[in-house]
Amino acid sequence: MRLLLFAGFLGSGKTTLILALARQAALDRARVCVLVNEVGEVGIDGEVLRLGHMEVVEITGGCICCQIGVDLVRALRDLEREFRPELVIVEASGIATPAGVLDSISRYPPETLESLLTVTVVDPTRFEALYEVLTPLIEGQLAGADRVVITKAGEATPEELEGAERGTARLAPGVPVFVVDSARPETLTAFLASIFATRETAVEAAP
Amino acid sequence: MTESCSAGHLEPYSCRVMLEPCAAALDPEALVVPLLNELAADCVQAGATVIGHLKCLLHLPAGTLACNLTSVRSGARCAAGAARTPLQPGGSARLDLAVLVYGLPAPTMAGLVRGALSRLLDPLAVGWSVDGAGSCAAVAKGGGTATFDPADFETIFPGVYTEREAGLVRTYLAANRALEERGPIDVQALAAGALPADTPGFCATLEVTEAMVRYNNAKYDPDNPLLNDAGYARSLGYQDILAMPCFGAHDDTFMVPYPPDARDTLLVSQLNHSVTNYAPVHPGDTLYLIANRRSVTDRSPVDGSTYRHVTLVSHGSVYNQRGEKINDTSWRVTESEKIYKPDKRPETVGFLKLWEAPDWTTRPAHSYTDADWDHIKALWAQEHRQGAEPLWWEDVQVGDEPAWTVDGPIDEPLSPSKPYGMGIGGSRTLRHEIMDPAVFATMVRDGDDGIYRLPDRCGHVPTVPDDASPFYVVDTEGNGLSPVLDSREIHKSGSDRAVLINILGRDLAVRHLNNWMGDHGWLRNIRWGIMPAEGHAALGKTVPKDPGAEYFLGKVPFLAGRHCMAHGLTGDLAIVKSYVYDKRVRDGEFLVELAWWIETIEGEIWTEGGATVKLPSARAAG
Repeated sequence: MRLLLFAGFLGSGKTTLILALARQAALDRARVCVLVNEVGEVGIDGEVLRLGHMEVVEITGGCICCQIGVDLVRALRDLEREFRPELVIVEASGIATPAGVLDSISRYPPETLESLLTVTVVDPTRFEALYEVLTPLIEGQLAGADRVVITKAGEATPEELEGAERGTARLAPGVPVFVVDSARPETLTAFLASIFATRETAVEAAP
Repeated sequence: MTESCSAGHLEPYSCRVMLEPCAAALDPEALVVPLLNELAADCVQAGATVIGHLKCLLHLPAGTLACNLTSVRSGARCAAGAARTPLQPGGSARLDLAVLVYGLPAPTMAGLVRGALSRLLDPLAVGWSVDGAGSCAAVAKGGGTATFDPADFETIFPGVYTEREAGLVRTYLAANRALEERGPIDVQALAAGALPADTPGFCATLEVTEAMVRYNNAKYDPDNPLLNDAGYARSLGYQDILAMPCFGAHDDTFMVPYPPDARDTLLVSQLNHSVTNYAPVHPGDTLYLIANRRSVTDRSPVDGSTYRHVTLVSHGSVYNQRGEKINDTSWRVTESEKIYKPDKRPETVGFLKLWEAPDWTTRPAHSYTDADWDHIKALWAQEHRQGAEPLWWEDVQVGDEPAWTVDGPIDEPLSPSKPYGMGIGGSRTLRHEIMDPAVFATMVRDGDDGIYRLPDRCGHVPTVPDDASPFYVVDTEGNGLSPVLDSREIHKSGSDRAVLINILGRDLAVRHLNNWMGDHGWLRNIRWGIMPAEGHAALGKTVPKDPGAEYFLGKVPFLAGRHCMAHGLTGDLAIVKSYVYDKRVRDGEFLVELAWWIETIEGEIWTEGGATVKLPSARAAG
């Protein structure tokens, strides 16, 4: 089982990206499950993903990186047992840091875990403003990334895009960065290829 | 709540809004886009420091429309290709809404959401309610979902009292302050009988008779030798059989209702109680019940309401005749009360006019089929008692699900009996009789409900010992003669389906936990809740959510998002289930945390709770 963890601030575009990724995986006939965490009690992202015909498990009412990590472990084990997925995509809540989530997973790793890759999603239109007021969170979200995706390229100004690229290069040095615009599917190609080409290399990243 | 991961203050707020256009068709996008935009602007104006994400999903008959907003500047956007067909009058839709912003408490956001909905929907004559059912009838009355005429009642503001209330509330608050000023109780004087009778918070003395202990133990956990066999109990170091762990913990002992003379109607919600057990109770003990602290939080809407919503929280302790602390207890409840305008008040306000409640009986009664009985018997056969074999702390894992227990179908309701913590009356479970083919053959099955009973009613409704007569007295009109509301009336036998008192679920859960932890475990704490705000809203009685009420089901991964939506009723089965969600060592004690819940045979949850169990450690024992 491969595990893809999506982190990124609230509203950064994680769900949209996951929909695109899961569609691609479905074309490859891979068994894919999505595990969605939302801090609110009424889950919305999970429903959106279900409408996209995804197999979805929701964890609501808290954050899996700090409050309900046990729920994540439990859900992963259930998924492993019941669906035997080849790929599990975990959408962390927008206030989670990868380190917190990875800590839970590394303590109780799923039995069939082959690889684990963390993708941090960045909204360039708000990057600098958010970094200014939520510095530790934004740093924490980028610190654990194996890939960074800057979304909303079509909405951001050139200055905003440049600021986000500069910031991610500083906070996640050496990590591949992809700039995408979900309204233009062709901009996703390189990112998707990098995910589906990492089967072997990513094993090293597993805890 | 999220300080550890977000380095800022974010209280998520989410809700479900039911929509019902009453006059004209509703354009979905024309509703949700302005809603998110206005909400974002309102949040900023109210002091939000960061707009995180406002998102919603509108479930329409023709499909679903998803919209979101991440900044005031860019505004709300809806997903391409989503359903945009107008919602016609007579149709209904559900809006799931999440507001994730920094710097605002959830109640403030709840108020902003209601304000925005009202601004947008009321002029369009769209019935709406948050976490409840929308209603065109309510729109016709000017909003709300209640069935009374709001014009008959006073408009109430938080912390501002009508002339009728003022003096009574002053006295009530003074009594609460007197408890604070008393400080810790003088336990030695209490145990020596030297405490002045007028000491604030001195609630009651309870003589623990062997008859009452055995009556309850036989009713709830007849197969447990620790509770029923004195010789066995002594072999484990106890002086005698143990009473059930909440024997002296009765909510009405410690709680004082909001002044009864200060209101005309009463709607109760969000019972959420906790009892911590320090030492066993044995026959012959004397228990002293002491209230330590009480508070009242007025949750009435700032802009006025026909209801005064107050959350009452009481803390108390139970001591025995040696001055040993037996229990610490806490009790919370939300009361929603209305006051008639002077010229609208009926001449008499008896129980039936006073008591307001969701119509719990909209849930159909179950008729037990042969297949149901096969299922029940199979569950009984699978029950597991740990008994004398220690359950070691090291052998328990997070995610464990203890064997289910089954009680009922509950034939007769339990009645509260202050200060006795376990109530009186009610039926027992006929498990042994039903599982014994010879006895089973003599039982009588009801043609309507399919329940098997013994030919003699006393066989399944144990006789209450002489020294346990009810505290309450009620006249034939249903008017409570006791100084507080007689809640026995809502649990009375003979109703088509009587409401089950909250402590019944708790004590059924105690058997479940006893089975699991065995005779070397100790139930350090048990917590339980019924009637959450979500359950009330589903039946059209919207009340403000008490943020202090523990949400136990949220600790169970496969139940997250579910709520205890039903009230236990006679005729219900009680399938008690639980889940281990944490284990730790605290102050040298090896503890396990469980969430538990009770389901009907149809899977409706009617009580939820939590428990902290102390177990022996194999490693520490060497």
